[in-house]
Amino acid sequence: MHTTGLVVLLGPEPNAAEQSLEQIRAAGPFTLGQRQDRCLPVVLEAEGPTSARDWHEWTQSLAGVEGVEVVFVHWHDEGEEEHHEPC
Amino acid sequence: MNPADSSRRDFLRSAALAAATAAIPNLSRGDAPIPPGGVELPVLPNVTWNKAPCRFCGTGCHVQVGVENGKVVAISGDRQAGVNKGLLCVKGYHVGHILYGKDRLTRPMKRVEGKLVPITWEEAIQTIAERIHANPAKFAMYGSGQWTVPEGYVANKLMKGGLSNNHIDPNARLCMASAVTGYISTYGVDEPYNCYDDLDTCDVLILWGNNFAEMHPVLFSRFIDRKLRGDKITLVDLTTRHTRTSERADHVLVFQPQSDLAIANCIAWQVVEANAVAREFVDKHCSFRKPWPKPGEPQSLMGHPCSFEEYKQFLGEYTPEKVAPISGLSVEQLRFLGKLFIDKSKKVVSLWCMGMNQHTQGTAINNLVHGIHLLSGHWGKPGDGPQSLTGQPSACGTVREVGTLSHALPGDLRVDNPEQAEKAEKLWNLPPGRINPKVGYHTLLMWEKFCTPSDQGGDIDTLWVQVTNPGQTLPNAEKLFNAKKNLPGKFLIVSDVYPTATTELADLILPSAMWVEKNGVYGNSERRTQQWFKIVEPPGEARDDCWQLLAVAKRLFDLGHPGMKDADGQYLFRMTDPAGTEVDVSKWENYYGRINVDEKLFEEYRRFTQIKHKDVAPYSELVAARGLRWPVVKQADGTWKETRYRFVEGLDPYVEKGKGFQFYHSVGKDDRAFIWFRPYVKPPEMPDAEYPLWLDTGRVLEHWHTGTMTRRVAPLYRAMPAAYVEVSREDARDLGVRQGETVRLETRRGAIQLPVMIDGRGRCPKGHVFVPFFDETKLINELTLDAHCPFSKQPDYKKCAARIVKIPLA
Repeated sequence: MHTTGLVVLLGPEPNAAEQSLEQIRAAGPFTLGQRQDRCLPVVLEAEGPTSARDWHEWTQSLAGVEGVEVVFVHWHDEGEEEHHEPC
Repeated sequence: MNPADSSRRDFLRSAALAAATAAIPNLSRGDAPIPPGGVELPVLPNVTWNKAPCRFCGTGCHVQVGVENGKVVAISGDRQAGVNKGLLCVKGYHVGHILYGKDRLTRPMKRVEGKLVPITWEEAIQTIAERIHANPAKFAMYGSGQWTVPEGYVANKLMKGGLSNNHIDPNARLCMASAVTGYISTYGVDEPYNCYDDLDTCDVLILWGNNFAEMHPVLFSRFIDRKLRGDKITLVDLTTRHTRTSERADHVLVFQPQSDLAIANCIAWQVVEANAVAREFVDKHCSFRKPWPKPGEPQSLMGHPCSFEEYKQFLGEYTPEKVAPISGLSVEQLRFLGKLFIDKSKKVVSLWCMGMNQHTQGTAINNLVHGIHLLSGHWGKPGDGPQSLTGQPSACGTVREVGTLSHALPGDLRVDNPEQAEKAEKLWNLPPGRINPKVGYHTLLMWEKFCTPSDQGGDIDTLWVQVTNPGQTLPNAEKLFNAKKNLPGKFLIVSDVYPTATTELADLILPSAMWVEKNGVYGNSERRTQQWFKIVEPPGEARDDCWQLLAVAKRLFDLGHPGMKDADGQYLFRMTDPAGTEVDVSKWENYYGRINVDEKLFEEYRRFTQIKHKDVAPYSELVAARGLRWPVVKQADGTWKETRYRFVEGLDPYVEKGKGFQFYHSVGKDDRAFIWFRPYVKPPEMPDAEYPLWLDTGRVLEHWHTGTMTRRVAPLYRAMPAAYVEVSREDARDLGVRQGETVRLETRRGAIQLPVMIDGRGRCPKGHVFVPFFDETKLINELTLDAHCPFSKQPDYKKCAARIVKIPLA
């Protein structure tokens, strides 16, 4: 399990920001905190770092999201596939 | 799920949410103060937290490392850290995973009849010491900007103070040596006068060939986040190809490789022409410099005096109309750049990294960018000045400050300056004359000598590499690395944490401890010295690089090498406990015992830093801080104060009262900085009919340099698994190649096969291709050029001539 604390930076366009916020809320692995202006604290719980990374990229790609900042990460019980030899 | 798991998940979720919520004030207000009493860390059962700087780039972010049952299980951005204010980039996010790749090196190994076989540490240390003792002059040490300060200090003292051998050079020669020569020949002393705080206050940020968004992402966010807060700021991306940085820039100016020299001179011409020279500042604090006695004669590092009229005359060749065809920029774009410096109402910061440093005119372009800031008065005020960035976490701390370059001594002293060498001999308590006054081999020469047969002038026979991967990073690698393969009598020792392209040719491999598996001190790009403690045990028999050096030094002492004794006949690295009893730290069981070896070495080194006003803080102060920017000076109340801006009265304690500005180590000993004229010079290799493309190489967001660590972190590996050749849509069409098609990329030095990427993350202009160097299965440096700056000896990885050959279907 991979638990990540993120700050989602919402864009200046209110409709796009609201729509992205809804998409994040509807997606499975997120827990949303209290929005402060354009900053939204979010917890992402994923199976492992690769899945966490995919969700991170997905969040980043949303139209109303200007950026995603990482502030915390905790992992445990990850399979050996997450640490490997590159070639 | 059992209740215990559920409760743990709830705990983690709460901790992560609290950390994210707490970070918001830093994002919404860049100068948010640290709460009184510090910042609380996430509370997790059984997890203990310790600070450490991130292992990767030169930014110097601090992280909090969470450890449970002897293993790193969590990373949190350190909110007390001034550099990153609690934020992390994608690499920092995964930094804990770099310790746990499956193929960590865990035992010393020696090559016997072509095969690596495990040996004991005892045999490894004896083997190295015997080879050095047999012929110390033919031994060389190749180190790193990832060496910790104590590691670099021991290597430097061992070589220069013990063996009287200056053949020690670091990989930072390949990444920032031109910045060093640029600073020294402009201000008389190395390293930036300013700091990252400029990003919080500038109005305009100009990036000179620097993909800031991918290479220093946390600093990039620090600047870009200001837009979120409504600041009116302008980002100018002066670049040779579109990158992720370009996507966020307000102005993207794509110029022809090498023409940055002409562009900088064009800006200077416009400042002079518009009568916008900061006359009072320049008259009082600067003097003009030209590179030769007469145009056409050889250039020199320190140059010759020059009048303002002469300077103005040289600039006459760099009007916007004349520079436009050289640079590929329009006259309007060049005038836009000029106006940024003519306008005094806006604060302008220039930043650069490899684009200006990996350059056959690297010193020159560094001089010119400093010069346009000095000339126009965009210098010396917070948010208004030029600053180089580094790529490695301690390129500044261990290379530039500890002096691990082949000409240097700790504290910015030189081996070939008799007075300075004498100072070093006194501090090290060496017999007079111990330090060899001849500058040692720089990186390229060192490897050339190692890869040349001994009977043909190849006078380096034993080479010890620590904390770096030259098999992947040296340019023209067939000549400078692979040629070792068939040479009898050449012995390569490699200390590393994972197998690499370098260990492929190693005769002896030493398994090293990494990052929080050992104590350490780093120095980042803004003069910030950062300390951390060992938090977890290294795997297997892996041991600290510093211990390896000290163990060899002690063995040389035992073998009777005279250089391992000081002027009093004592062992050069003798250490004692508080009771005065000698502690033999060459015995591993003593290394983390009664004394803190790092602290002993750091405090010894610290005396050197006071010679040229680069006073690093005492170790004990660093323990409590998230890094401190030197000079760190003791105040009347007993506290220690760091310095954000040097050479500026009121901000730098060493500037005399009433001076305003004072370049107190100036070349001319007159407290003045140099404003240089340096001419545009064509690159040594340019596209032609046979090789019609420019080849540029560099880095990507996911991987740190050669990928030794990041390619073992699954998400980073999967996000960017292999190198590619970035080709413009027009060139792809002309060559008849498709997206993903494997082609052969050739230069005059070699060829490799790579998949084509068209309009990917980066976009090259027509006639230009780009290949990242992180992939050890596709060694792009077998193709690059080893031509280098005549002063910094830094090679140019950014431009050579290449061609793409379509591979016929089988």
